[in-house]
Amino acid sequence: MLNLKNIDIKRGNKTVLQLSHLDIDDIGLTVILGHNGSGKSTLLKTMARQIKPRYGEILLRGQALSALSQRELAQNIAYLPQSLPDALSLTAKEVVEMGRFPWHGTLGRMSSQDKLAVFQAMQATQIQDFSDVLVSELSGGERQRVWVAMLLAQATSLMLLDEPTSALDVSHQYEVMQLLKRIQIEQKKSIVVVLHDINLAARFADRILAMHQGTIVFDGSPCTLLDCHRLTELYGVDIDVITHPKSKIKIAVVA
Amino acid sequence: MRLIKYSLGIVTLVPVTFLLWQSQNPLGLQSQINVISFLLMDSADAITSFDQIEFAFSLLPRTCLALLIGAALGLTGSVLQQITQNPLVSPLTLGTSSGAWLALVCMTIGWPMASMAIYGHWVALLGGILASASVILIAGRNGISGLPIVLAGMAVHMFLGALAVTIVLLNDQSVRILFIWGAGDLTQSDWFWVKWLLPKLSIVFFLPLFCFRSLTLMKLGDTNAQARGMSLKWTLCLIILFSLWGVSASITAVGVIGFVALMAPNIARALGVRSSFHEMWSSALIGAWVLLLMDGVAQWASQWTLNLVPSGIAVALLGAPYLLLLMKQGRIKDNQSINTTINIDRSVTPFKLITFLLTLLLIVALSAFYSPTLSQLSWPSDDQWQWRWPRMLGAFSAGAGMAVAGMVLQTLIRNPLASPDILGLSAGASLSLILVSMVTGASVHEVGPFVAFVGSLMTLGLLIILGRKHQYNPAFMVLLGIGLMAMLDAVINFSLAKGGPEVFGIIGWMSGSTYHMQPNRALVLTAITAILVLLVILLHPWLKLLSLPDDVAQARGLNTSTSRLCLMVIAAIICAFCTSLLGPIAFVGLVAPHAARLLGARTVKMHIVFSCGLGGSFLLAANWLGQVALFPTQIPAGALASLIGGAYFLILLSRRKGLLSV
Repeated sequence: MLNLKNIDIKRGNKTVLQLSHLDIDDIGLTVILGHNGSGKSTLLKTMARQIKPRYGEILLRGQALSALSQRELAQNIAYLPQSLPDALSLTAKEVVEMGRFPWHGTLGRMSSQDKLAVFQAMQATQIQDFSDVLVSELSGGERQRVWVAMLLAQATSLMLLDEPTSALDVSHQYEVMQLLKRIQIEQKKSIVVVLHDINLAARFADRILAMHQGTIVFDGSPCTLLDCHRLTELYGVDIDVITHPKSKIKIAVVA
Repeated sequence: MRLIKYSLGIVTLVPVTFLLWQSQNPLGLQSQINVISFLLMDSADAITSFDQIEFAFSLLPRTCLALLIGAALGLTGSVLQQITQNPLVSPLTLGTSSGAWLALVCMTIGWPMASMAIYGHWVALLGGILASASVILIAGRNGISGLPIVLAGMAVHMFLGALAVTIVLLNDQSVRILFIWGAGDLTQSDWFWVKWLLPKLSIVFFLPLFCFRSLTLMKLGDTNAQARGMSLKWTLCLIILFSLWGVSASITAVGVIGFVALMAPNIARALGVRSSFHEMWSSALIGAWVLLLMDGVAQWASQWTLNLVPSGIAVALLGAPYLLLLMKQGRIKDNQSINTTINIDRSVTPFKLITFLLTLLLIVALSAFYSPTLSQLSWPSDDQWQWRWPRMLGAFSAGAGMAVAGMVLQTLIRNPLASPDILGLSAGASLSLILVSMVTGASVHEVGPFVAFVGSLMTLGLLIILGRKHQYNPAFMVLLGIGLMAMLDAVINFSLAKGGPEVFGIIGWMSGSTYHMQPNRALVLTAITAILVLLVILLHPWLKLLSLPDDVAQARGLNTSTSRLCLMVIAAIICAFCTSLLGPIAFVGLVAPHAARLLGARTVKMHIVFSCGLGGSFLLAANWLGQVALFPTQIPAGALASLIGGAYFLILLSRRKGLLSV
């Protein structure tokens, strides 16, 4: 799907991101982990073309990402930044409809296909009940579902989300991740998510990329990541991996 | 490093200022010292020659006044900026200046016998406090350190300006002296004002001594300051009161000199001054130096232009570009999130729609059939109809156009306080019109439309050129507009002060009258407004996307800078047409989109249509009211609309807290 080669991004003299090679698969849920300032948001923004690296190349199905027009880009990649406005004078439905912009364009009208996509996106995220409510009147969890619905309506094969769970409480964090996982499986998409929480990542990811000082230090499945030595090295604190007494799932905790 | 900066500054600037000062001065150094010693020994009789008298009673007091006021303004600017933690705050942006000005305008007209020197400063202080208090109230606790307070300040500034113009129009006695004074004039003929000002300002100069501790605490944020045991409310009130006192006294003495208070603390910080106490003192010194220098420039310019150039204008002309420079260097955060919204849990009901349509019908009927001479409704004769319909059509289209332009700009700038006037487009139109009618002597209403249109387009061009580097970042554009507006306002005031009898024509035009609306002009205006409003409706997907943060909009496939530029140009063209045919119409663009939300317009498309209808009806109603309220005197539609709209706006803001909470 997406191939990054020899990416090198510097801010001043400091290297923020340095990759020799990274491929994002056609199908699967990839989670980028890492502590603050490790370059995970930078990597996601580079994939979304929000940042254009001076060195290196990024290919989308063999075609240079930089050669695409803004609309073509949005037809292929749906990106959701971390900071989203709480206060917005738009209704939930209007926000979801904006996901169709790359398809109908500036002057085009909403076709029946557009309307169907909006309807299905709202159904999948269960936000039909408040389609005419202003976004500013929704709760945090509901609002996050509206944003995800907008991404869904965009109907791209690749979705990029920057910490979609950061402002949510625990139950809503799991709800949003469950929703993403379900969408990924049902619609056979490729989804890349930046997360903070190791356990949340291990629970839902097919593949985990762990970053440290602008480089990828781990790339593999959740089971291989959940190793106490590896995690201790990665985060610089003592981390133990224990097994949950009931569900038998492995959990990482700070020792 | 910092020491080098300081000493370099002093080494170069002090001699330059001194030389400039000396170049104004016909006397040699020795006789200057003689004159000063005569003055100090209180033996003024010894001063005999004309040059000596000029030096003793014009140049010296002028210099002292410049130093005194510059220092006071620099100091108050620093105090206010530290309290609000906002580098853009000054008496100008807080509305103090316009409040004080309006109060003094009222005083000169309503109470002509009162001497400015006896009561002036109290009246100015009252006006200044009222204006600043309402600005702070509107911006709210959270808005005080960001862009909201600047926007609120500009809204209040515009409202008070409209009020002042209306008062001037209704009292056509000679008020020209007020315009000179409004432009900030330092010319002196004796020591009166220096002696008057010195004791009043000396209180202000002790301000740093007792408030630097509180201001240092304020840097931690107000909750933190309170937790350290500071009684926040009273300390702040006291400090603000003293600052406003200094500003009001200065305004009473010499008029409005705005930018010094904004510039001086920023220069001080740019030079590397950090602590609260040092910032206050160095701002005072820098303020004194800046005003002295600008006054020198103004005097020097006066030699070439035959006319007297008020120092306030020189300050504004040089200050506004400095403000832009500050933003360019990133010393002022121009990417502050100003996402705000009006939360109203309402939707459009048939009842509301019918009420609205009936009201519109009533306004149209009244405008068409009510005859103010007879005070009754009657079928208009052909002559009357020929006279009435262009004014009605013109008023409606202009109102509708300005409302849509306002709605577009509010979406782009993401703030419900933005309006077309804030980008300086109206000021550009006014300025070009005034300059052309002064140079050619033609009447404003003949040269009017075309010249005003060119003026606003030139302003727009300037905005586009300057804003390109910042991808038309909304906050940057607002500051740019405010800077341009302050600059143009200064020139307008100056031209009005120097102008002949055509001045009243210009003031009349500036208050937005439909009096000169001819049939063909009304039709052109309607056609163009209709086309552009349709275009905006067609482009409504852009408006939706642009109300989101840029990265979200880009990820949906929108080229944000191009689309934003397009919409801004459309808004500017609407604004330019309305302004050129009717004159600047403030507040319709601000209030109509808000009222549309209140009516329950939820989706963007509905918002456009409702703003359009409401704006049109509003100006139509103002047009009719203005013609009949004080018949046979006519109040221009634009002035009346500003008054009603402004009052509505201020009441709304004071009642509904948190409109601007970020």
